[in-house]
Amino acid sequence: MNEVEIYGNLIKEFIQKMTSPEIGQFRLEISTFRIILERARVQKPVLIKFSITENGKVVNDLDNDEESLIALETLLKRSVDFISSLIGEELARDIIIKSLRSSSKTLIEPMRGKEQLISYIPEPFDQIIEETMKKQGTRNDHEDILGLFEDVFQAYLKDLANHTDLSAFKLKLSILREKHELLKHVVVTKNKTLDFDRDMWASASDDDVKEALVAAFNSMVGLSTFLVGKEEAIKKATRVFQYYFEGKSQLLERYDMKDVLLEGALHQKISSGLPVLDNKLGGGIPKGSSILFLSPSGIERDIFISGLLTGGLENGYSVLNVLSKEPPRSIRMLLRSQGLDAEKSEEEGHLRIVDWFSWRGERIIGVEKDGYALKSSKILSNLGIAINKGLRELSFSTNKLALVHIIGPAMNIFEFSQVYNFIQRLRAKFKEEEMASIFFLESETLSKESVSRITEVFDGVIEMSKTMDSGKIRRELSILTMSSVDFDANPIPFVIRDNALVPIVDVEADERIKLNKTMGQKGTKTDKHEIEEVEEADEGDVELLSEAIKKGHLGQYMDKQKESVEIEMEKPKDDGEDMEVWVAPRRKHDQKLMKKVQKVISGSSDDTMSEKVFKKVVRRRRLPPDAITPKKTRIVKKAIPKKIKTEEEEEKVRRKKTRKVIKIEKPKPKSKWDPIEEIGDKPEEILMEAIATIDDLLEGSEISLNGSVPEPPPRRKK
Amino acid sequence: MTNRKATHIPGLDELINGGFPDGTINLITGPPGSAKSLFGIEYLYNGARFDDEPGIYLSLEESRESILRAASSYGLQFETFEKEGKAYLIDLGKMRVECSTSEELEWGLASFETLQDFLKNHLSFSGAKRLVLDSLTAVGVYYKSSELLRRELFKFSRFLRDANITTILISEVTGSGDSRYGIEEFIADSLIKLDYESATGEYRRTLTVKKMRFTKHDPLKHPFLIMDNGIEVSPDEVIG
Repeated sequence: MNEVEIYGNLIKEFIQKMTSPEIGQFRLEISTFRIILERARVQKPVLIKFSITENGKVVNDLDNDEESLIALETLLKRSVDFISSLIGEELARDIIIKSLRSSSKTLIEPMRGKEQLISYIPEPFDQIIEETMKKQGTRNDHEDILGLFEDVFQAYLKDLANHTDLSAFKLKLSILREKHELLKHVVVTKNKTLDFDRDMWASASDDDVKEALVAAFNSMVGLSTFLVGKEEAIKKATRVFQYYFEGKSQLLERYDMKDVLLEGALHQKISSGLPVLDNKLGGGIPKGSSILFLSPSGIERDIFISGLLTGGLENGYSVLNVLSKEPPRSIRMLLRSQGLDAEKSEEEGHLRIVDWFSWRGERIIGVEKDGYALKSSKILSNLGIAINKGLRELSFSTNKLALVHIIGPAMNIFEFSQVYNFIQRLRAKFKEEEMASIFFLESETLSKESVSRITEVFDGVIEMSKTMDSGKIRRELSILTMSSVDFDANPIPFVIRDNALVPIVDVEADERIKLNKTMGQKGTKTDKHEIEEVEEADEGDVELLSEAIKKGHLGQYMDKQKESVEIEMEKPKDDGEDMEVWVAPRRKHDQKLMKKVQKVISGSSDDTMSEKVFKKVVRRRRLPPDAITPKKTRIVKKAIPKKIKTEEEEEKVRRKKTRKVIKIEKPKPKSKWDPIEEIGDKPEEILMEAIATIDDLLEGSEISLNGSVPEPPPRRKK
Repeated sequence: MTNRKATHIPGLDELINGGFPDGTINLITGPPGSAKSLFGIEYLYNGARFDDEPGIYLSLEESRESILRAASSYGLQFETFEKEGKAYLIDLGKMRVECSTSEELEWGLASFETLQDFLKNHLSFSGAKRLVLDSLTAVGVYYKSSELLRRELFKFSRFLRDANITTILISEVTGSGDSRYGIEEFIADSLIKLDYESATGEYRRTLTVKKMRFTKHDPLKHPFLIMDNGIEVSPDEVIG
């Protein structure tokens, strides 16, 4: 059952309960819901695919995409708002929760692990989800994951016991117990397995369970590494995991364990460096697959390669880079410009450069070493040797990536069949190593026929195109073929901004935000990007974040990750309302950054911030899947219960709110970045200017912005 | 399962199922400059280094200094193992230089018989498990007919097998043949041909395992390189 179907079932159940006499004191007619749906269709035309028949039957033909989820959310919200307007918000909430409680398990269970879906379910339904998950799900999940880990531990300890007694592991476990309370409720039995005190574990939080299990398991792998070497230890552990978790890998995802276990070995895909492309590929490039990347020569391709290389190294991949158009020093310089230490990566074996460029200018006999780089002479057999040597010299990693840029130049020197055979051999080699590889080819260097024939070798083809459209350059990235992957073939239009490939949908969002600023912060709320009216700025939160950035809690992280983050804050004038902070990391590693930002803002990463306790963290997804910004985090502070009876009242309260949009960009390379200086008083200045502009615009004119005042972002009320 | 003597030459053992079977006679052929001697030196040196197996290098043409210099240029400190009694480099060529041709022929300084006598004593003294004879070509010149050569070589090979020593016989060839006298490959248990050939304006070195008894071997032609630390065969690359 896909997400939209699950959502549809929730609505169906909701309608059924609300129109059923079971509720007793409150009952709606089917026709009422039909009218609500009709109105929602005006706002969300896609709801034409969703209908309610006269006898209450729900027909859900919506596509399983984000647009549908947003539309269903709108429908559900409108329904709740309608009920609230009739009987009051509090009573409406109670009735809805009460009515759905009996069927909550059936409705909620399919939602487990579907964070995106849950983020679209409005109040008070999210409360039912939370309750259900807490009461049944968590306990069941803990049971499930403990059961599986018990098997894994047993298999692993048995194997370890063949090499050594388990005293080292027991010692390690006793040390870990000081940090992980839950491990105090684990004992190593005589049968060489771990026995969990299930009651203690069942009542623990997800995070505690995750951290304790990962710590215990990693300590086993650490001991195994000591005994048999890292490569063998990780391979062995991976095999054990794959055996016991076959068909249950979503459990690992639910506990967010895949990244922290076995250095990501359980991931079957690796990142292309572009989140939007990863999404279209269903998560990334499958390990062991070879991709042909067709593109015209130019900066677009260079930026893409740069992103792959730097992203790969940042993600801890082992990267083999085969060059034919530039010497190794260019790559080292590129990495340095991105803040990465190329020499260190080479020294540690995370990067090997095979140089098939230098033979043009110097005499190379066979294969020669130049530092850590391997220079090959012209002939392909020597290049093959150099590549094989490079592969052998790469440090062990569960995620390996090869970037190969030789096809075009090789075709100019050798016969097609020689190059074809050579690439086939390379592909087989990479596959054997479970290494994802990308072969770059300038589409203009070969005839269409040759390109067509060479594509046969590869598992997939990705094309980057650049065309002129009405006097403007149009750039697109498309997946043409990809074997064994359910990929999205829709092209990704993009532009180049700040030396990065930025999908146009994200650029549009930025433009709207800028437009809002220049229009005195008055904008239109769109479905995809929430942009709100701003009347005046608040200093406190800027200070809060600025302080965090100044102390390096956020700034250093951003600097290291080469990211920028957009932080939007909203705070009411009176203390009785929620404060909302929206965080939208703009590039890769968004989850890590988001967590970091959450910690900083909520104060959990710094003592001086600890007073600023935010009560709840709610994740909401607001951008389309192909946007470069995949997630926004809303952090709600001090949600003091209050009632907003009517839309007019709510509108009035909202107008009083304070809102600020701060955009913190990554620092320019080599410049000393001072985030405080960067932010400074600019938001206030901008705001004052904007307000003045609006005043000017409105004075003596018939312009009224009332009609376009957007709705506020959804807020959680208690 | 057959016990083997690994060469520890990177990439080669993969092609020959882990090494030369114990007690076999293995022929390494190739034109001048094809790294035959280096092959022999590495085989012996690596045996001492990695497997703690003593070995004897019998040189009939190259001087001891020349071989030591060649070894040391690839980081192979032969003398260290000599001091430890794990490797013996015997320069029979020096003796030949000090004699006239007629004396050499008369005394049979480098005949199979003389070699056999020499080895009989030395093998029991050294406990050697590996032997390199560089080169067979120098011995062959004593024999006027190929039948005689074949008979003597056969007797010599029986001696080596009985001594359970794993031997490399180095033989220089020119042209397209596999051996100098056309008979060595029939006596030997294996034949590895080293060569170099022209490709797109440059020369590349190649290695082909043409024969190997008791072994499922890779018969394809593979490129190899002489790197800073010696020979490196590329089992993943195939020529032709």
